[in-house]
Amino acid sequence: MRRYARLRRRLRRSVLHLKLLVGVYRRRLSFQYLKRKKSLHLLFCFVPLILLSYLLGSEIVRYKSALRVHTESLSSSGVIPQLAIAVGAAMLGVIGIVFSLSLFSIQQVAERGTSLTLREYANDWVLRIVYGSLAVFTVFAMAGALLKKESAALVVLANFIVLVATIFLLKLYFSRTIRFSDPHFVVSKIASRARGSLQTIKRMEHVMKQEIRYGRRKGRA
Amino acid sequence: MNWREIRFALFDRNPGLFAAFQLSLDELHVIVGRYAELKKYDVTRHAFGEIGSLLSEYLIARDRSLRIPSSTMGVFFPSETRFDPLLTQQLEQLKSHAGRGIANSEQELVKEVIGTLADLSKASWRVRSYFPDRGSNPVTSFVAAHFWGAVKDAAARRLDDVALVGADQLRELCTGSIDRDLYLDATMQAQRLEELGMSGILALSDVVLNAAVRGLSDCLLHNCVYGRPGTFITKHLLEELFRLSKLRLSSPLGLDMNRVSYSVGPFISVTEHSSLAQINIALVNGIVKLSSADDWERLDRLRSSYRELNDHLWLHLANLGVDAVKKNSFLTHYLNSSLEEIIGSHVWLYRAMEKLPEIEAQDFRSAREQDARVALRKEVRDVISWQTTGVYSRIIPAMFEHTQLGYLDDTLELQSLFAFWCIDLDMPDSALSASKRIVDACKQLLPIDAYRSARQSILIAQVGIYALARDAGRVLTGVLNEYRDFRAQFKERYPDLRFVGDFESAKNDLLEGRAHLLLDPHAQQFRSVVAREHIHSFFRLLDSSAA
Repeated sequence: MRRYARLRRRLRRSVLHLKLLVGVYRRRLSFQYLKRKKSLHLLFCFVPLILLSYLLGSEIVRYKSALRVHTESLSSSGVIPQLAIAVGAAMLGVIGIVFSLSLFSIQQVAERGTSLTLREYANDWVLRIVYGSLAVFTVFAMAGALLKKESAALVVLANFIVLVATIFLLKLYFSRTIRFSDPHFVVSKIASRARGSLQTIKRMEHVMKQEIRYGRRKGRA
Repeated sequence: MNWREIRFALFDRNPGLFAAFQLSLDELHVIVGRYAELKKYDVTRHAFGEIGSLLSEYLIARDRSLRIPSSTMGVFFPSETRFDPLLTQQLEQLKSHAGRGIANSEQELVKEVIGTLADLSKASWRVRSYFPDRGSNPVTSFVAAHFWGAVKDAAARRLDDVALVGADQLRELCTGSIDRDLYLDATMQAQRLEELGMSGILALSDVVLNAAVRGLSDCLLHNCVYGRPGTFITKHLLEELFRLSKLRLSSPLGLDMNRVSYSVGPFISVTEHSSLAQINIALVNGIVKLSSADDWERLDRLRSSYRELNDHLWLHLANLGVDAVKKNSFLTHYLNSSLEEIIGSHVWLYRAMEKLPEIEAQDFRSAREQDARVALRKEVRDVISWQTTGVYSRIIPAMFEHTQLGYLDDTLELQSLFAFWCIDLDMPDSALSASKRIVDACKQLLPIDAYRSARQSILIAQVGIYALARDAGRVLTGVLNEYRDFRAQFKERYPDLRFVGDFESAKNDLLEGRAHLLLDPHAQQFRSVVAREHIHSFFRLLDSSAA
């Protein structure tokens, strides 16, 4: 009985050691994960994307001549111009809906906080780039409908790229808009702009000091 | 047109140079105002942090170019020189936030504002004004004035949290100024701490007073250890601390056992790290340590601090003691224990200095150092003499004058201990003066409380026995005469009075001793030197001289 008790105690201690070990390694892993979360997410997005692109590219190269014939026939029958117009129209709709909805939500935030939020939102360079890119995509998509049937494959490819890029841009737009609802973000933006202005003052001071030094040296000479 | 005019003309005629920067700062102030209304203090904290950091960067960028007149210029020169407009405007904005917070009793917001102003004051140490000043940094003074304005208003409105944070920041500003030799700024911050303490007394808030006193005591310690000699900061700080203690004594709250430590405790309680006694101990330790290490420059600084700290200290202690006696406050007990520690440290320093080997005069420096050591020994003797006799020469008579005899026994016992130390250091005059004070007190007690008078007179006998054991003939003769006269006087007045602890039982009491007395430093000192035969010899001498 006594021997069993000793065994039981030893077993319990071993289990405890094992639990401790597992706990420590789990903690380490989670710490490493939190530390490298962003890079891991990028990795998980980019690797499938590259694989997909590779597969698509190899298929296009393989069936290049067949695809050209097929797209030309689709263009002749008016399917591809219709697709291009539809994509362009959809882009316009997306711009209208997304911007008006986000503006509405930012207005709500500004009303609860400060009107500076709305101004910073309107002046944000990321959002301007997104808006500009969507506008350019719309123009490209619409223009694609006017191209000749020899360029049908290019039109199809461009439209698909526009669709994929739009999804990514909307994701970027969404996360950026969400950040504007946080007043800390607005404070940081204003402060970084002030730091930029401070650089001008620093430059002026530097020039003034140089000038004074030069004047003194000249006076002494 | 000289260079100053060119510089100022450029910035005055082109206000647009700063417009963009100022606009961004104003926007941050708008955000602060808005979110302060919503009580979202995390946002206001962030905005204040950014404002503070931007203004600090601005100050650093405008080093030696900021137009902020010094206090000397303000006093002696025409006031047409304007202050830097951007900084002034930003400080006013911060002040207005603080004012709004104080009016609405929003302590968190006001704390954030004063935190920003304090950080800005600290950052301004690295910046020089276009008009430099000796002993003061005009930029720091200017920013700190706004900081103090907010703290003062908050303290007046009884926002204790703000006052506490303000006291901490003022202490840091004061110690920082001491480190940078900005003695005018340091004195100014100390005065502000005193003012804060006074507002605490007026508001009957011991918490604020405690923080202010702690701040002043910490500054005193810092200045004694790191300060430059001859700046009178120590003197100012000591005067401020004693003034605050006196004012607190006059407060209607009273100063009982608990209230002393919660109000002026950091200054007067020996257990506090920056109390008067601990500062003396730290200085004494430093002097002895550096004397052995031959670090003469630092040693010289510490010696100066020691002199400055103990200069007329007895008078301050005596005045405070008299006030404490008048109010029958527990502060008397704290004063007694502080004095015991302080004089104990002086005695220890004197003995340690005596043990140091003499420096051979090889060059001017070594000769000067040896001379300084000899001079210090003499000064320590003077300090001991003043502090052992001077303080109680006022306190004990005040006890009888105001008939507050609650702390008399402890005080007389301490006088006896000081007499022992004086005998050890061969200072017969001081020892006789101390024993005379005990005799006078016993004589004054005689008509009031005969029992207590006779019981306390055993302390005179102890001084005599100690002198006998140490072979201090002059002290022994003096004490013997005093004791004999007093005993005769007592017997003449009360010939038939017999009680425990009377003159007849004094010898037996001393021979037997008491176990509990062994914990008492006075008894410890007595027993460590005196043997039974010394007691017998003393009483034999007494009887023979009486016969």
